[in-house]
Amino acid sequence: MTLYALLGDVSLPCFPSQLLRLPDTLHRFPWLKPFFPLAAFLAWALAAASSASEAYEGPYVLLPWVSGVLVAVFYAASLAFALVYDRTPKPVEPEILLRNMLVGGLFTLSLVLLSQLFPPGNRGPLAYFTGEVYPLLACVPLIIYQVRSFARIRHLIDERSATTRQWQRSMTVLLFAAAFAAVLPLPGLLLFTLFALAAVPAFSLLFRVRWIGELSQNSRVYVFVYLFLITWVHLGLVLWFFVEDAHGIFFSQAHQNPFPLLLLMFNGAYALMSLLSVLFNWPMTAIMERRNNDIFGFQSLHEQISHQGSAEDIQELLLDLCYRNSGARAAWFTRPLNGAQQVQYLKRGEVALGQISRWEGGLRQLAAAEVAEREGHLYVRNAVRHPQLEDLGAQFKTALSFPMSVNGQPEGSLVLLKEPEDAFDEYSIRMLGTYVNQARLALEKNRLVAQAVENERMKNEFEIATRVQENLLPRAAPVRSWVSLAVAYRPAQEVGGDCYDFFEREDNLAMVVGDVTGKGMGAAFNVAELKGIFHSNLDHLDDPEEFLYRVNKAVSACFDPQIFLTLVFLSFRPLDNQFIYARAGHCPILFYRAADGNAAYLEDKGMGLGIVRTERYRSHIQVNSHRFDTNDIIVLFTDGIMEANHPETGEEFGLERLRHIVARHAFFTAEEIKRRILDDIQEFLGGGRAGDDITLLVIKFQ
Amino acid sequence: MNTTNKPTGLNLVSEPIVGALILKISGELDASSSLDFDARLKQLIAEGHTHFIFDGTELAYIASAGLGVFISNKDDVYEKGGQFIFFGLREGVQNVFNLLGLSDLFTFVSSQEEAMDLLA
Repeated sequence: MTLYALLGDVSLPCFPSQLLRLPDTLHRFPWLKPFFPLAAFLAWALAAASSASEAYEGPYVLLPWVSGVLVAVFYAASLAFALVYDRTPKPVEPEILLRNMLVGGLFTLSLVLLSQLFPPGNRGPLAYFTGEVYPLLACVPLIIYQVRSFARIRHLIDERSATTRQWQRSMTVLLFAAAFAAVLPLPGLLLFTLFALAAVPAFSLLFRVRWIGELSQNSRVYVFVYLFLITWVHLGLVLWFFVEDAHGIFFSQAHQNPFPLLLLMFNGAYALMSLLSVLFNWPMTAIMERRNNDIFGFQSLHEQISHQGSAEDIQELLLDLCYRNSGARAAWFTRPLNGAQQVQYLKRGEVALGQISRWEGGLRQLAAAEVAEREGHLYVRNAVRHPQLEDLGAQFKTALSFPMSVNGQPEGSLVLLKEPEDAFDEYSIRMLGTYVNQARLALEKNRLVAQAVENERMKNEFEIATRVQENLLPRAAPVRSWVSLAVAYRPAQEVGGDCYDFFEREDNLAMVVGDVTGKGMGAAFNVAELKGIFHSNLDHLDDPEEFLYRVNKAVSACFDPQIFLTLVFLSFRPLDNQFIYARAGHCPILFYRAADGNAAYLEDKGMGLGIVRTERYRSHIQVNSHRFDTNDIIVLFTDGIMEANHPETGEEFGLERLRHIVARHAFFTAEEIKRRILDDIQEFLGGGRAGDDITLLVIKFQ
Repeated sequence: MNTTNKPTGLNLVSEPIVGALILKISGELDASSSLDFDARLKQLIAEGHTHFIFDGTELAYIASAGLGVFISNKDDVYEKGGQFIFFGLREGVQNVFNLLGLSDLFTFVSSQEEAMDLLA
C-alpha cells in the first residue's frame, strides 16, 4: 500500500458528516448570507483598531490575543463566504475561470503595490493614512482574492472522484483549523504538526490537473499565458506579504496565523503546477489532437452510416478525413463509373487531374506486381526507386494506396501522397486502413438498403400484378337454375399461367379452362392477352371448332414460337340437355354419370394452341358432344393437379386419384366436391406447395 | 461422340449417323435445361442437320417449356423436308406428348432401328 493511499484512508473518516453538509444547511437560510461579510468586516475593523493601539498594559494586555482571534474570525468568515456562496458557472470553462482569476490577481497586486509607493515613517495625516491605514486596507482585497481563488481552483480540480472530494474537504477543514489554532494556547509542536498536516491534502491536490488534458489546442495557449501571469502575481503577493515585511504594518498576529500563507502558497503552487503540466503536456497535445481527430473521423463515418449518406457522400467524406488526418500533401479517390468503363477522380491538395491519371497507371502496375493476390494497401516508401513511378517520384516520394472493394466488387481506390520519403508511420497507415474499412462498411450497408428498397418495390409490383390478374378472372360463377358451378384458382407464384373464364351470350353459356406455357409473370402476361383474344371471339360460343381455330390464329400471331397453350372449351345447350366441347391438348375432362355412378375421362383428340400455326390447325380440332342429366358432374382442371408431387415419394397426384374422389363424393354439391378435392390435394402435398398453378372447375347439373 | 453435361440434369449426347442425327436426352427437360437444349438444337439445325432422332429412353420428365423447344423448332426442320422422330419414350412422357396432340405432328417409334428404317 502506498503512502498516498494510506493517508487517503486515514483522512477519509476524519470529518463528521454534519460538517460536510454545512454549505447545504447554510443555503437553506439565505438571510444568513450578509452576516458573513459583516462578521468579516467587523473582525477586521476591530483587529485593525486593536493592533493600532500601542498600549499593551493593564487591561489592554489581552488586546493582542483578542486581535488574533478577530483576525482568525475574519479569515474564517471570508473563506466560508467564498466557499458557500461561490457562483462560478457550471460547466467550468478553465479559460474563462483563469482569466477572471488573473484579472482579480492583477487588481489586488496593483492595490498592494500602491501601498509600497508610500514608505512608513513620516508623520502627518496623509502620511498616517498612506503608511498605516492603507496597507491595512490593501490586506482585505488580498485575503478576498485568495479565498476566491481557492474556491475557483476547487472547480478546476476534478470533483468527479470521491477521493479528490475528500482531499478537498480535508484541505478546507485544515485551513479553518489553522486559522483558529494559531490563537489557541497550544504547544508549538502541536501547531507545527497541524500546519504540516495541511501540506498532505495540499500536495495531493496539486497533481489533480486532469482538466489540462481536456483543453483544446486553442484554449491551451490562453491557459498557458494566464497561468504564467497568475504564478507571477502570486509570487509578487508572497514577496510583499512575507518578505517585504508588509504584514508588519498590518498586525503582528498575522505572523503567527498561517492561514494567508497556506492559502497563498497553495494557490500559487497549484498555478505553477498547472503551468508546468501545460508545458510538459505540450508535445502530447499533438498526439491527443490526432486521436481526437481520429475519433471525430469515426463519428462522421458512423453518422454517414446511420444517416443514409449516398455512396458519393461517403467517398467524399473518406477522402476528406484521410487527407486531413494523415497530413498528406495530396490525395485522390478513384471512383468507377458505368461498371468500371470510366472513372471519376475526387481530389484534394496539390495535384492536377492530368497527373492523377498518369500516376494512377503506375501505381496500379506496381500494386499488381507487389500486392498481387493479397487484399491490402500499397505503401511506396520511395517512389524514385520504382521505374513505373519515376514521374511521381519527382514530386512526391511517399505514396500510400488503398484499394477498396464492396461485396467483392472493386469500388475505387484511395491514394495519399507526401513529399518526403517514408513519411507515413505505422499508426497512420493502420488508422487510414480502418477508415477505408469503415467507409467500405458504410457503402456495403448503402447497397444492402438499396437492395431492400428494390425488393420492397418488386414485392409491391407483384402485389399489383396479383390484383390485376384477380381482376382478369371472373368475379363470380354465373348462376343458372339447371347447373351449379364451383371454381378454385391457386397460382404457384404471385401470378400464374392458368386461366378460366365464363362466357354468356343470350342463352349460351360457355366456359374455358386453360394453361399457358410456364408460370409466373411471363405466363401471366400471356394470360392477360388471351383474355382479350377470347372476348373477341364471343360470336362463336356455339361453335367450338371455329372458336379454337380463331384463338389459335390469334395466338400464332401474338405469342412467341416456343409459347403454346392448352385449354378445354365447353359450351352448353341446356334445351337439348347437351354439352359440346373441344379439348385443345388440355387435361382430359372428367365426366361423372349419376345414372350408373361411374366417373370416367372422356376419350377424344385435340392439339394445343400455338403448336401448328397454320390453316392446318383446323384438322387437329375434334368437337364432341354428350348428353347430361340431373346430378351429372363435369370436372375441368389443369395439370397442376395431375402433377402435384408428393413431398417424399415424388409420386404424382394423378388422374386416378381425382377420379376416385369425385366418384366417392358425387352426392355432394359442386362447392363441396371442389373443397374435398382441394383438401385431398393439400393433404397429398403434406403442407408443401404445388409446383404449378392449380385451377379446378366443378360443374354439377341439377 | 459429343457430350454436353449440364448441372440441370439434362445430358445430351449427339451421334451422327448417315443422313440423321441421334440425340439422346437424359434427365429432366424442365424450364432451365430446355434453354440449353434449345440453343443446342438451334445450332445443329443451323449446321444443316434436318433429320433428328431423339432417344428418350432416359428422359424422365418433360415440362411444357421442353415441349416448346420441339414445337418452336419443328417448322424450320419440316420446311427443309426434315423430321423429328422419337423412340423409347417412357409412358409418362409419351402421355404428355399424346395429351397435347403432338402424336399427329411428330413420329413416335419404339426403337432406334425402327427410327432408322423410317429414314432409309
